[in-house]
Amino acid sequence: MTDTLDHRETLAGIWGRLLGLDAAAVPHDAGFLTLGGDSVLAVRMSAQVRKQLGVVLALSDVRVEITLSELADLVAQRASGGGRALPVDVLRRTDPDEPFPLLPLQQGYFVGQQDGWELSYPSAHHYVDIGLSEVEVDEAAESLQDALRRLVAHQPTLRARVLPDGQQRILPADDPAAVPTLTVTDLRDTPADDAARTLAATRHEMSTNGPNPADGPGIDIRLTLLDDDRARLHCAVSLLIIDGWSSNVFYRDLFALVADWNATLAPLDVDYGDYVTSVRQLPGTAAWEADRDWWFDRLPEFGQPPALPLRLDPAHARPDLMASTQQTVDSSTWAAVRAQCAAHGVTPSAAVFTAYACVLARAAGHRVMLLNSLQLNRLPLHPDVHRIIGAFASTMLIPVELEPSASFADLALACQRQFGDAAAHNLISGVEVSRELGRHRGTHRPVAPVVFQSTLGMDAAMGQRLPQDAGPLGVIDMHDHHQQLRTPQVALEVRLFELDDTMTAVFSYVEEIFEPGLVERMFRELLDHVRTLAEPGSWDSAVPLPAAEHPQHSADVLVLGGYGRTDTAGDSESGPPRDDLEKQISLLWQDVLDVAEVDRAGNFFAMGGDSLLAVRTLARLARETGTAVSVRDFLASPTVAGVAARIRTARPHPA
Amino acid sequence: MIERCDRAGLAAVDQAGLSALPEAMRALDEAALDTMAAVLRRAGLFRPGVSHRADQVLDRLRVADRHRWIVRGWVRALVRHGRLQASADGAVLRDLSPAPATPAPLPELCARLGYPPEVATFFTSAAARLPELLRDEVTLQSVLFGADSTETADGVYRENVINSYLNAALVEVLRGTLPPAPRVLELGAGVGATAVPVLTSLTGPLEYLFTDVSRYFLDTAGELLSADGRVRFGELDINEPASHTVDAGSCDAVIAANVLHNAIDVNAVLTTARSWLRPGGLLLVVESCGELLQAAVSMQLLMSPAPGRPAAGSLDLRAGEDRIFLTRDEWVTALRDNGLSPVLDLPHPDHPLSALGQLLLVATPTTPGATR
Repeated sequence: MTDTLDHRETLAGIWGRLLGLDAAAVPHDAGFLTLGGDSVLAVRMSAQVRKQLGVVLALSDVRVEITLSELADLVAQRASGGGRALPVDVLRRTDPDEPFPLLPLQQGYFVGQQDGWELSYPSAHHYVDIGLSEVEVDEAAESLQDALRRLVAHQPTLRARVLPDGQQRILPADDPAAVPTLTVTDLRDTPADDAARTLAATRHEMSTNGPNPADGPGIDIRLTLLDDDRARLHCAVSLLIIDGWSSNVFYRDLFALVADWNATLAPLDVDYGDYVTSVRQLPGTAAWEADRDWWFDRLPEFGQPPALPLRLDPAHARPDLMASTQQTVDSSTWAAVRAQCAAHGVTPSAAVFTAYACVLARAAGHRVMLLNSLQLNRLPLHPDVHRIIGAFASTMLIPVELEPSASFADLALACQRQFGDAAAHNLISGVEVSRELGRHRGTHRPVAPVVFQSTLGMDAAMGQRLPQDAGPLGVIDMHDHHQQLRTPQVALEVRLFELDDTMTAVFSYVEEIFEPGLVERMFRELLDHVRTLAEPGSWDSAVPLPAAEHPQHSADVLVLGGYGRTDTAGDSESGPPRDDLEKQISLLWQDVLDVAEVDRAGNFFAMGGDSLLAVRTLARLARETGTAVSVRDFLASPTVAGVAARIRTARPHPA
Repeated sequence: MIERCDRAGLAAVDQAGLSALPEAMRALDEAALDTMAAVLRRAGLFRPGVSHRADQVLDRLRVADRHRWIVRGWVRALVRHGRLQASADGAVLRDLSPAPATPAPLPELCARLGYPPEVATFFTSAAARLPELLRDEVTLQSVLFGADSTETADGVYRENVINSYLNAALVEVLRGTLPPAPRVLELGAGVGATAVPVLTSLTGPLEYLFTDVSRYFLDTAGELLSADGRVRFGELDINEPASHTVDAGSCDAVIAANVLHNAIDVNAVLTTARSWLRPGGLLLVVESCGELLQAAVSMQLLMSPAPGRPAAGSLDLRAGEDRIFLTRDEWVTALRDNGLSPVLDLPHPDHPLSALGQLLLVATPTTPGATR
């Protein structure tokens, strides 16, 4: 407070000199302009603020309308803030029931839930079950349901629903549908074989039928009671509204509430909707545009995804589940790896990423690649942001160029630099960059289906270790867990996390598209490589890498990413719309795409459309023409002529 | 007198590179077209095969109302230079030319045009911030004067070939025509790019009234010229008759360098300026004329009206034409129409210097003593 007052005096002095006024007479609530200032003087003022107070104000911060009070606040804010100043603030929305937009990755998951997109599933979700022991059987279910009720009141996102038009809203806390119902299965005194079968069935059901916030709670939670005061807690969460980091927050909050009937969690000043509403203002700011230009300028240089040999074109795959395989590196080996990482100036994440990239390069036969990563992406706009449950996560593309005959240490440093450069431009999401890359390459197929995700070092940094004791739920053994992930547009994903000083790596992948045994081989290779990083010598030796920079396969060999353009006009002739139906579709597209004329053979995506817009446009078209065109049919020919042909075929022929 | 002034101007510049000026100027125009196209392309406009109307272009860029005339001007320039195709009625635009393989070498072009390096830096920074500038989130002033120094502005307004020529010619006009102890009024005197050479060259007794619309310039010039007891400072807005405290018929010369294009009505301002001149006095005008595409992606942002204010030219022949500069012929006509007889205009139209699009016009009241 005193700081702000002190600044006011200095600032009044600066204004006085610039405006030819007595410093004491400068009113604190009058705009610079009304006191005789102008835009040139405003610049001079910023320079004086920098000189006298050492605070750098962005050019866009200082408008001629600013008052002395506002300037003092701004200076105080900039003086205390580290990192780059983000050009938006999180404010509480006036109406918390109001719908708000989906963030880009949510959009991706939303359209991924509409059949027709490559590698899509009816629900994008994460499933996990965890072993519990010393359970107070009589109280467990009731206290868990009660904790759930209190948590849903505390964390509004748990009440979120996704609307058909691709928006979301948060149900009021007293809405009867707000709290998910706990399902309890009692398998005590059940023969072991039957219990195991029932557990497996629950797992399969929850893995293949995730909760869908389009029609109910985004979370499905169940408790299976077992003999000897043991139990398993099953939980499936929709990635559409709850990201991986939120799961940590969820379990921590949930267990804290279960453990103590009277526990109250520190209140949250803002909710996920407030955050999204603010972040959605970023596009169009200069900071966002600078990041966009940084990425878009680099698109032509990006490599292909690793050209892993396939047995089935992903466009023809209809997976129910992703296969997964996981291994844990023991604590002493992992401690040695971390020590080597520190000695070489790279983070454990960067080291494992580099090993992953090398394994992929060898399997794909080329060393320039485009990989994808999943990022927490919680922009530090408010102190509560890291305590909120929500879908903050975003993808970030990582172009990789592995230097042949470089040492592992050098490769890791280069990858870390690449990662850092990308992360420094994170205001535009990888989802948006991928869309543009798709337009650039003339394809709407996934441009980066190989993913890296790491939370290494983050638990320690954020102090987020889970409690081991959860009152009536007993003792939680996170090591005794079984998990299953289903994310659209992903062919292969590695996830890394630390648990009690061990490191676990998980591969999730679409099994039916890969050559049998390939992914398992790559996984073993990766884990072997990571373990050798515990030895100092391994960092200095060269890593075997293919000579080729880019994929070297003939056209008849099926590899990941080796597909042709999908934006060709197909059999429709280019030209203006031909009949009333084509004209009607063309007018609709002009409106949604903000263009002046639409060629009947012009590609919806090439003209700037994206997947969410496609879903919305198809919905509007169905309303206006009375005929629905499926996403799958639309993707086969996303042109005015193509859509008109589908509608004509679908309509009953006139007599 | 014309030849004497022309010679004085030419003597002030290095002759060696003059013949290359038109080509360098053309290249600078091309660079400006590249810049315009890049702003449109980066906003996702005119993807291959995609058409837009001009209003869709302006809306996508979220151009502030006061700057919309600038982008309309860009669209016309891009069409005129074949960088964008327009339908027969001009309403539908498409086929924006792709980005050049290598960006234009702005520093080299500016050097060839005799601009100091700060000018190329200014052009580059302005180009980089155009989306924000057009949305009015950042002012060009902050790019131009951003480093708390006037070096950039000096380079743009003062230290370049054409200004050296024009200032020398202008001084020569004054030297040959002013009576002893003359009274000189300068409008929009800015960074002093004209005042300084005039006051340096004319060493005798002189009363110099240095005026500008912005207090900033008066402060800066005050620091620069305070040692010269012949100079007085005053705020004066050429578009605000109430701020004119100059007595009719009191001036031997009125200098208006790079300011008259800001007139809402050029006729009104010329009439007023003439009223301040004694019979036989001189109006000395330095102006840009011609297309000047590089200005359309930089300095023109200074020329948009303040929100709610009428635009420059909105009450004269420029009304509705989304342009700021008059041509040489239009200036000559405007002077005549407002009771001013042209005395000279330099450089000669066939001289390479004229490619730079800057002009000195001198006129004297046609009907001495008349006031309106």
